[in-house]
Amino acid sequence: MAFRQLTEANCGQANPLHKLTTHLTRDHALAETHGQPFPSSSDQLVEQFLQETRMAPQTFRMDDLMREMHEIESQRASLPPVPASTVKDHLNDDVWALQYIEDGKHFHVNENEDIWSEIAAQEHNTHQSLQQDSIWAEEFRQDTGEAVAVQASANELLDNLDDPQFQYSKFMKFMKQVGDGEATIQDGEVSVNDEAVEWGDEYVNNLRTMNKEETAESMADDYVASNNGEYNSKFWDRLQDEWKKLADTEETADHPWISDFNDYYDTYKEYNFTEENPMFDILDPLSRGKDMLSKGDLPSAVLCFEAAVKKEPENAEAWQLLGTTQAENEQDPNAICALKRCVELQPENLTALMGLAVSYTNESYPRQACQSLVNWMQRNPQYASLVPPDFDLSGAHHKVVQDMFIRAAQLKPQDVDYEIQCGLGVLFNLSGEYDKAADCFRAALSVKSDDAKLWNRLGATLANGSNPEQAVDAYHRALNLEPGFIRARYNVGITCINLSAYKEAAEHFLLALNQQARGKDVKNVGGLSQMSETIWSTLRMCISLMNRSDLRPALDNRDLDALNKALDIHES
Amino acid sequence: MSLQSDAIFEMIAQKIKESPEKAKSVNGIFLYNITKDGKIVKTWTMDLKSCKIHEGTPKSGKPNTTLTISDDDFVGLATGKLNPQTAFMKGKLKLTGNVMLAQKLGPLLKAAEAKL
Repeated sequence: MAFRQLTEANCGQANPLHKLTTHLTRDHALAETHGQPFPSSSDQLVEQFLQETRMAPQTFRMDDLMREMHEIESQRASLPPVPASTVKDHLNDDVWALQYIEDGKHFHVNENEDIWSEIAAQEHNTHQSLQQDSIWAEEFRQDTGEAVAVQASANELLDNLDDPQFQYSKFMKFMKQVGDGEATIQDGEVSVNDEAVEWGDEYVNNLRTMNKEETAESMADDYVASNNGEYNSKFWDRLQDEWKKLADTEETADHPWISDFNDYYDTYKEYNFTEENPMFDILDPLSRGKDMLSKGDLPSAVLCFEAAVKKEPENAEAWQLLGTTQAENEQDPNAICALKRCVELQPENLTALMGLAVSYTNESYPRQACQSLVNWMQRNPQYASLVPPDFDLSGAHHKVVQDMFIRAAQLKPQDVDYEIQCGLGVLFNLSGEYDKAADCFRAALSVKSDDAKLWNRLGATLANGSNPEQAVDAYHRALNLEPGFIRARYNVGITCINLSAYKEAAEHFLLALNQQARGKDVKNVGGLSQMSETIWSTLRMCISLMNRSDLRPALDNRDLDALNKALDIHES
Repeated sequence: MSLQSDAIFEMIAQKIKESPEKAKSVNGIFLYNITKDGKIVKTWTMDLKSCKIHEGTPKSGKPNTTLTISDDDFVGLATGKLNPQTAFMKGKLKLTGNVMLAQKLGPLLKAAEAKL
């Protein structure tokens, strides 16, 4: 701020700098005490100043700077950090060296438990440093190439280091060997590998006998000494990149470090059987179930299939039918359990795998959904070749799986494979590209227009893509084909909510629940547990949004009759 | 005072109780300021680290993200009428704190999602 007066062009006003100079030039008292150190006139001051400034720019001469920097770099490259002279003397002190050797022997003899636990902790660091060192060894191999050059540089390194501390290190021994040509470093040379591994092993053993602090210090020193600065930075750069990648992909949780954590959550282990299954004492529940399915009575079919799997726990077909039917019955958690069991028994069951992908998508488990789709492709004889043999989903985004399926579709451009289109539709739903997904499902429907499930999927895609009117059309097609399609009816209710038509939504939900409650056998006993949790919780929300909290007790008690009456639903 | 958003919060609480790993995957503490006619009338805390949803401010720990939204708009978000990004752009949803975490919250909030 003080300089403003100096820099601003205010002619005529008193310039502080000028004032200062007057002090110097006209201060006779100063002149008397100090002789004549300053020029008497301001002109001479200016002269002096200009002379000085002429010299100043020289410090900004870039080429000089560069030269100096190069010198510094090369110095740093060839020499390790030069220890302070006093320290160096101290190091050269034989007494200390002898003492160190003594200490080393001590540890050899003692070998307490404590030391081993220390070592165990140290092992971790060792592994890391080993990794670093082996990375260095590899890079060293790659980058240097010529054995002669390596030898030369190794010898050079040796010459530059004559500190006794370095002489004690194993690394130096290695470098000596390289210098002597004992260990040749050539690309693909097996002897070097062994040498490096051997050296690595020796290193570890060596560490065990050394003092803990000594280890850290020598490791650090070795590390510093062992590279020209490039390898060091290369490793750290790589580590940094890994972290950056981790930070970037954190949202998708696809990075192996994070996905491992996700893998631990496996809630779909045990299937929840209906408590009192009226179908239990039927002779052939499986075929009866299929019968029910063809009639469109989903809840009864579910009961039959449950009885079937209880009778024959190893029957993969029964499990598969149970799974797919539960999915249509709007019971995804149970569906996933059943389908997983089926795949355990019959890994090549494509229907089960596709069903799993869909259910996982609905339950917001994108990774598992992708995995199921990959498994589907691997097990499919037509497309198995498109999956690379050691394909690992852990690092991949679902875009990779999308590309695989697109390639599969392109294999037969004229002949639409509706399953591939279905898989693609699921994938695009996962990535939020609802328009593309809708196109895929439409393509699938072009070959299989009587599949209610496909119509429902199209509707759901349109609804999630904020296209409720078209969605409703698709749902109606599905329901026309299969009036007992619980899931489609649930979806219609959802669309009503999207359009804020809460009353209509509640009606649809109740209809679905009624249908589920009707799932019975010949004895006409209703299965209460067949009713889907999702439908109940959505209905509850709907009732609240309708501001009919008076129906709360009925909701809590699952009193369908009361609810039917309240909302004017007539049970036919 | 009973707001429409109460029903939504209950539904989300139910969802989390059934599948806690969905909450754990987001793993944050969110504070919701629900407004009506421009004034904050209720606050809700979604503690996904301990899988609890309750009224008021967080019982333990500080919220990672604070969201301010009106009752109607919140219902719109949950029922799928209002897109979270659109809400944010239009200023209907105000965010402070960790925005990334709030994005993860999206799928959890969607109470009404069509099933494939």
